[in-house]
Amino acid sequence: MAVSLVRLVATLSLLPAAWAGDYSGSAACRTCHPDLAWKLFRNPHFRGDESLSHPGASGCESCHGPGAEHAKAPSKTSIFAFSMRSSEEIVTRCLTCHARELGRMNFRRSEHYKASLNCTSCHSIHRSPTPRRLLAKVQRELCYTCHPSVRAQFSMPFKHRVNEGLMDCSDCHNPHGTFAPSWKMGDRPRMVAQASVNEEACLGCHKDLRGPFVFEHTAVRVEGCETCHQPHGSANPRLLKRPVVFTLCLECHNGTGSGRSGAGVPLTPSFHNMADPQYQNCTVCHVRLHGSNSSALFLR
Amino acid sequence: MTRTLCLSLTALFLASAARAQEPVAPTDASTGSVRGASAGPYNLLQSFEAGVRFASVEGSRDAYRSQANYGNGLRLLSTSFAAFSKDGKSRWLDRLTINTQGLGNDPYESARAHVESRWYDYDLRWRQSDYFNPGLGLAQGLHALSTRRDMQDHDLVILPRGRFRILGGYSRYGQHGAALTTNFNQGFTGTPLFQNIRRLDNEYRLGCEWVSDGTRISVLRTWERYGEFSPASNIAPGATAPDGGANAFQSNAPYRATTAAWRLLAVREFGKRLNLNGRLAYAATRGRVYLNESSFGTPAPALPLYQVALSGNATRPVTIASANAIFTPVQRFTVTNETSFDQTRMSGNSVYGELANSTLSFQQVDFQFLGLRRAGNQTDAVLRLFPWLDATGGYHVATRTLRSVLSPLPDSSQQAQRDQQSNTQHAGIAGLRFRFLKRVTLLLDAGKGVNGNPVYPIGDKSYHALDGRVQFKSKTLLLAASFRDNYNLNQAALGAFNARTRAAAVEASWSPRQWISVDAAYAQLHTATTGGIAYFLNNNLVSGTSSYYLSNLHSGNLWLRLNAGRYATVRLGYSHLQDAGDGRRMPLLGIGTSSGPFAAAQTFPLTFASPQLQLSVPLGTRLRWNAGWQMYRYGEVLAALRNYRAQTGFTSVMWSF
Repeated sequence: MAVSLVRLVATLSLLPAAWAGDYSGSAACRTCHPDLAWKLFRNPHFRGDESLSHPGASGCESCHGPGAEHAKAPSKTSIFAFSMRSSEEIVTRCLTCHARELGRMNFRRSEHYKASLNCTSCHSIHRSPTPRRLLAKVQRELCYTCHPSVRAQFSMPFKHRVNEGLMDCSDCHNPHGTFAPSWKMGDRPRMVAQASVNEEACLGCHKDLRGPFVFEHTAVRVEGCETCHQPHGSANPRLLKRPVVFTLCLECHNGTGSGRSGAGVPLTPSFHNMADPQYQNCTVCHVRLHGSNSSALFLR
Repeated sequence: MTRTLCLSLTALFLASAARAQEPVAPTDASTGSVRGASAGPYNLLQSFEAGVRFASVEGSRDAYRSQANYGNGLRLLSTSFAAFSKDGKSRWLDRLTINTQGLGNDPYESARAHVESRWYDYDLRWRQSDYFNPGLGLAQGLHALSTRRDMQDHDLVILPRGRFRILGGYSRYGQHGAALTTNFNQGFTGTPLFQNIRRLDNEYRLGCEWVSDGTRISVLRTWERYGEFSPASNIAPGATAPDGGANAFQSNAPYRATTAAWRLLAVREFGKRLNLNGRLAYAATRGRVYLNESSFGTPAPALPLYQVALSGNATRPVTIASANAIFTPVQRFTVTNETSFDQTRMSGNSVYGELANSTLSFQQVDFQFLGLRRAGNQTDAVLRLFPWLDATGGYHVATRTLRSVLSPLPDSSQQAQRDQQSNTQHAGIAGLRFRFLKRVTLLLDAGKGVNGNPVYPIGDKSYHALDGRVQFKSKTLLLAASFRDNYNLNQAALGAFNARTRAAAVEASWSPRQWISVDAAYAQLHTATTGGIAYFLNNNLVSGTSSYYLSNLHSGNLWLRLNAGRYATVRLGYSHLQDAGDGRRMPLLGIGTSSGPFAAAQTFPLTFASPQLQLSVPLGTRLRWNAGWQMYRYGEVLAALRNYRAQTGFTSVMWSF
């Protein structure tokens, strides 16, 4: 009790003097902006103890800057109004606090930053319909706005259930930038988050395909799942790139390329008579195609 | 009341732009006052939507189950509950949010919860999905799946606003259900087997985070246990033996894997000009497998015709390190560099034994080793040249070494084959962004990459990507057009793989008044690949031919939303997807025929359309009645096996109290 009293007295006696020149405090903001102020307590940026700290560190002025001048002469030029600022200024302002967050620290490396997007392109700080993350829309609709071809992919008959609300884009992607992917050669894809330590995002849910397997299908481990699958959606069952399995397999297993040995990816053996429907359905026999613990040919 | 209504409408419009092929339920309407209710120091917001779904399917019910899968019955379609501390000074609870969807046997059920106070921050996410796949298009329907996946993630931060934080978490993944598989051993070529799938993964996380001015260091330790026990059997002892008199088959292959990992992430800011961050992680996975596979013959009681017993283990240590430098000498210029290294080694051993009727054989199989080592460096720069023009550029280089050891077959006297393969990639990117009149944005991007020695004939070798997007945006109107072109040419020794994908899209979103909004989008996805293939036809090698694949997908979405305020909200939607293929209406014969250049071409014309209508009527300030209808129509041109037409719908009430 005594400590609290001392703290309160110190705050009341010292802070207003420090604010006098620049800051007006959040209470002054509420006078003219009641439409925003009445629900500020629902905002994740709201911290209840703002009255006991410097307004530059919490409250309205922590984002909008000193507001004393704005209180005297209200205009968008007398305060940091995000709607009037450049993309770079907005990013810099938000990253003042968020650059040290582990999921956002690489925003300036992201494709979104390179595309001149800023935080308010996706986030609505005061009028967000989503309870968390302050997104301007439901996440998938937000992403579809700039990625209409992805919307088409998720409208395919076979797709991950994003439109159905089971998944979000951010389950696989980090819109704030990621480390370079550790599969393929690292150049692309560029915004895909990694599961576990270094695995492709797919394996975060498809745990049964992670292995390690005694016999690995090298394509899975080296080039990633998208070698054979279209992760967003496909017209083909199991999100495959081709409607017929054997052509998908034969495009690699044709004796060309480098392969693991440098002598090409192995050709099918001669008894695989492609005129026989049995051999046109490769996975009937090669059941454990992602990797097997008991068969080098993925037969069991 | 007017103010409340306006705020509600604003929320509705924000959520209504540019929709996709969504299910008709749950609705996105809201009820109750946006100001919520007071309960002591808390402000409460809540709404619940409960209703009945119905579905009627003509045609392939299997295909419908694999694509939409909504059924009949009572559902808690959605729930939203939030409690906020009005002064943010509550001792134990400052914020609580709970959102659910589809509870009560919808095929896609989910729940999220978030609780926080100054002492802790807790996140829960739970999802359950019915995954049904008839496998009709692949493996002749022998790999059907009817399983359920459930996933849950818990994350807890103790002292989230403090300088020292404790991190904890738990994740669980499960998949179980019935499936079919096949077997290719000992005369059981392509024999269908019944399989009971049981997979379970548990991950535990514990760590800490230290935060100070400009620095954050996070250390996390994880333990993960994965187990799978999915026995398979043909359970048909009376069936005719396919070969060699064997007629009963069973296979058990329990598998266990554990992973222990360390993850270190650190970020250090030097003012606003320099941000250094990086990660270092090490994970050691150890898998243990046993297999018992046997077949039995007639007449009973028969000795096993054969039995295979296997035990083995595999280890996979993974090391990964990345370091980033983000340098912003002046606000309009940023240069970033990432240097990364990762190494994966899969090694272990396996013991293979086979027991026949009268002969016991035991053979050792050396483990197949696979090692990957990759190092890369990426430098990118963004320059804001003028308020209306930005430029970007970058250079990425990576090198990868792949080492492998191929084991000899059990009955072979061959030595293990050791191989090594290396590849180096150089890639460059460049882009420009223009802004005109504050409302028009034009983005142009280009990327070019070259791989010296790709592993696979379909892998990226000489590739480029071109992107463009132009957008006009005002308060009531959004117009956008985009284009993306990906091209890859992989010229291999005996053939070439040539792939081009093009995506073009236009979209418009118009909300002239609060009572009406219109959204329309069209996209064309074009894929054309040509790959050299070689195969055997009646023991004769056929080479120098190509596999063609052609897909022309047209996708359109149209949405109209009418809001008559206190009377009703009507939402009309239509989604249409059509793969025109190469235009053919009749299938051509495939491999082994002389039907011209499209002998091995794959084109797969289909139509997938889904119109819907939704009506939502407010019955007072705290209650709404909703109803909707949605049709799914799926049709393949060349094979009608999976075609269906499904009428689905729902009626529900949404209330808040």
